[in-house]
Amino acid sequence: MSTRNNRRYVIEVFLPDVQTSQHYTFEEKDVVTVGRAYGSDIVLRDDFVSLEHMQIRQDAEGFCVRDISSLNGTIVHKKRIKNEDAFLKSGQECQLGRTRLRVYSADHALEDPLTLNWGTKLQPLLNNMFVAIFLFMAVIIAGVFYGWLISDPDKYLEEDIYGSLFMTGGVFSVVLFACSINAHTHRKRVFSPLRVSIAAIIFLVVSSIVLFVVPYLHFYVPDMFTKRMLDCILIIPGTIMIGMFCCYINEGRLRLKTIIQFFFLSLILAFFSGRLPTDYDPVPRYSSILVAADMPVPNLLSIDEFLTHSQGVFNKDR
Amino acid sequence: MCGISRFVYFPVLFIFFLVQMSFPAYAGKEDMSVDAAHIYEKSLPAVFQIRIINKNSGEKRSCGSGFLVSEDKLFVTNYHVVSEVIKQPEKYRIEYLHENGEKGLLSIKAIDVVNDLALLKGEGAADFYLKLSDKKLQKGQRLYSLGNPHDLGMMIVEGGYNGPRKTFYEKMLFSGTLNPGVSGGPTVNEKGEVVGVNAQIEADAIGGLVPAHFVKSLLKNVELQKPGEDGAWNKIIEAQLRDSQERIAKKLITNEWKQQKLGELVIPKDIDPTLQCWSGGFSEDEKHSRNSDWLFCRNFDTISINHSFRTGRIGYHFSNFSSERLSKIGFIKHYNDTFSTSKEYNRDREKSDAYPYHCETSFLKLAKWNWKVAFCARQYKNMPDLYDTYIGAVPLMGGEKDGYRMEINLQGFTRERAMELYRKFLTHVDQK
Repeated sequence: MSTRNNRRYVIEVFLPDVQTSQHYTFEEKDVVTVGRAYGSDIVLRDDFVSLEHMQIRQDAEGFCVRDISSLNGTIVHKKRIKNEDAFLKSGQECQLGRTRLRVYSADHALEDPLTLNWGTKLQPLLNNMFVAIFLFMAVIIAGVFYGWLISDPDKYLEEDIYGSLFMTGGVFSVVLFACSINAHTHRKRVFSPLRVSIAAIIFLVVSSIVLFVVPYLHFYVPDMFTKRMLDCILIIPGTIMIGMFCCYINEGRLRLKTIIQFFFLSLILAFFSGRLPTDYDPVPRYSSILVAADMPVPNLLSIDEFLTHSQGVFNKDR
Repeated sequence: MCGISRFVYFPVLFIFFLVQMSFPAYAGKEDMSVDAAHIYEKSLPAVFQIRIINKNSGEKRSCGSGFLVSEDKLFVTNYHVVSEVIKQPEKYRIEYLHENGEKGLLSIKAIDVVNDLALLKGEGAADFYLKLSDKKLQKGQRLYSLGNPHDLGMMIVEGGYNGPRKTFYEKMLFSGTLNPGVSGGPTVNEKGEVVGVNAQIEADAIGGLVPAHFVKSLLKNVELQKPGEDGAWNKIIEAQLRDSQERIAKKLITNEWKQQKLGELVIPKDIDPTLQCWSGGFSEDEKHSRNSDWLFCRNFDTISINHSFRTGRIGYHFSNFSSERLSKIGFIKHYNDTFSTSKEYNRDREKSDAYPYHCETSFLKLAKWNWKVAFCARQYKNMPDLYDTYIGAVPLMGGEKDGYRMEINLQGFTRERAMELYRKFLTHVDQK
């Protein structure tokens, strides 16, 4: 019985431009031929498929796919093969022309239907929340430690550092929580602690950049418009990349194309937010960042040059 | 009883004569109040309360005082009394009200923004008017100020002339109490001639008066002032302000400036006698995390264009900082904060009066240091040639835990004049 069952297999065919699929069941058949010719076991109406395109053979481990000198080749695991063999596990698919074939062995089982068993489904989510809270706390503790390191009688700097780290920790927790829910609803596995740790490290690195690198960039910025542009250019793509990292962390890859799209979107946003009208402000606001290091100054002006250069601030409202 | 009284009679009589003889010293005082009463009675027909009335409600928004000054029923008051009507003529009208209940409408004929004067034309007022004095005053000379303080009723205040005030705009000091509401009222001498117009409260029981000769010259020029078609006075205000600021700028540029030290920095000194200078500081202790000395100079007489818009401020502020206790990063944080929060500007501009500031920072080589300098300017909305300008600057000290700050604020100058003044300021900053 079991032998017989093992020798039975199903090939599911997804034809182009058709919503439904066709199932072909084979028993005790060594080789199944696929092609446009009527002599084939599976006949495909697809112009990109050769007359005798390929063969499928079941073996002990799964399925062996052999391309037989087809014109366009066969795509297996995103690779095009010609006159070659490739291996498919049960449930995996290959593509010839515009048609996709999926192979199933006899003992292949469908996934369980989605049940609302919150007790077990929520458990991994809760685990991840604990990880998030733990990391959030770790970030705060790091901030306190850092504040203690550079202790300042007036607590000015600490407020800044705490504020930034608190924000970072908060954003991190929220992103992770959102990703957990996302993963849960898409029936994915919970991310490994390793990946979560990598995400946390990226968060810390980015927040450190904001705290210690950005002031040095701001030091040279001539006006508030440029400063706001720079802020947006730094913050928006940074946040988006972190968010995307967290969201794709469970798929094990980052989509470069989407990141680039987001980057350009944020450039446009930065430009417009830099131009946003603000409320009437009777106080002069200028880019006033100073840094502790002895920084090189690129455009050192004499008094005359300075006065000529500063004429630019007149006439702006005409 | 009769026997005793005969003895008593002569000494009593003697004392009575003695007292009579010693009275003349007090008799003057009695006369003075007679004078004040006399002057009050004599001047009253020509002195009025000036009310700014909301056209929609018919109730007063503010009030001042004023007086008749010529046969053709011209009233004098302060510009600041009627400035709201100039700003919003569709909202307010001007009325005069006499102690006897007589009232009527007034219209603005001429203004002098710089000296805070306005001439108003009225109908139906009394024929009596006050004469302007052209006599020179002596310090201590008795003067009488009339006006209606706080809408309490017409009052007379005695005081004395105390010389001119140190200011870019000629003012007289009056040692007598002026209160809100008496603005625009006359101050007269013992003959009842107007020597000045009540203008501002300088201090407790010290008032500032506009000298009468400004009223005279305004009366001469009354026909020359023609407001714009829609009754707008902006062009006239701008012209007057420009002339005045031009005069002040020229004075500052031709003045010989001295220099003084603040720490290692050499800064301008005595740029004009009008500017008052103050200096102070603090040392590092529980309350302060750094040592600091500061010095600022500014003029305290500014020109009021309307209730929310004063201009003409000239000021500079220098300070130094150093610290033992603060870490390098902590100090630079402080330094940063002092650079970004400036003290030398007024915050009371409204959106309707000026555009917001535009600023640009650049790096300047001044003395031996490199400075980070913010240069800011904002344009006046109805007077497009005039700007408020501001410079805030700090030297870049690298990792050292000491620093300086420089602020210069010039309000209401044309850009050419502002630039000339900044050039002079910056060339007077040096290093020991």
